[in-house]
Amino acid sequence: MNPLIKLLKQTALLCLTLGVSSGCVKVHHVQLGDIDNTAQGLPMEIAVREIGIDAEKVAKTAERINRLSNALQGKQTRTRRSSNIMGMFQAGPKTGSPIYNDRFGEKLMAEIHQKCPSAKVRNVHSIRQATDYGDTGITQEIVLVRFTCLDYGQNAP
Amino acid sequence: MTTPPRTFKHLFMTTLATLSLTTGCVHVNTVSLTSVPAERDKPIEAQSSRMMFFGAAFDSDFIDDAIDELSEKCPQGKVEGVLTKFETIDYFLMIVAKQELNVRGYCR
Repeated sequence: MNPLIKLLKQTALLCLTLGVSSGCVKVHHVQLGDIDNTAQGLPMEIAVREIGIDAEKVAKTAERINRLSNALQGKQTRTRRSSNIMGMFQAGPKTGSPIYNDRFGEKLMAEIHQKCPSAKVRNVHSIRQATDYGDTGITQEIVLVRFTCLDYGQNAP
Repeated sequence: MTTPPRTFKHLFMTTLATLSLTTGCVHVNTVSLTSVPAERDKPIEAQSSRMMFFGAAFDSDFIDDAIDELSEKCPQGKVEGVLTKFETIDYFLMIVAKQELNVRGYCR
């Protein structure tokens, strides 16, 4: 294998690893509930996550790598706009990247009951955010709920 | 045809640069409101924000600052009628952006 191509592949792998291990946080929505400072309870936090995939971004990155690899090997590249076609399937208004399980947020209720069996919760704040891993096209779509649990029973720290 | 005076050009360019740096497009991400109480004699508010360059930010801790500030303004009380407004302001070619959280409520 051409040493230049080998180096390129190693660099691409390094970039991919860095991209996956660190990401930008995007906050989409913030909703605060009433705040009760008289409530004596235990502050808790629950987060449910789902992997989001931006197919258009993935296709673009693949095209770029393919084009660069072909150029280094001296091959002619016929650019296929697969990213444009992928983009058509993900058009329209959206919050975050598309996910393949639209019911991931429904786990929240069960998790609140599990963490706070009395289900007496106050100071509920919910945040919809995502961690974006750049050109990998992969995101982590997160729903974060913070609350104060009253009568927390066995879940005391 | 006469050319505009040099000072006018400078003034025009300076104004243009200042406007592009200080004004931005606002995107409202969230507006939410909880039940508004009958007693509304003690309004309180809090605000927090963060600046982003090329959309890069690595945490969402600025949200906690607004919650803590609002909570501190009403010690041993209840904050009701909480209006949350979360918006993003894009400055100068969208290179710089600011996310801002404004929270208002009534302390009881």
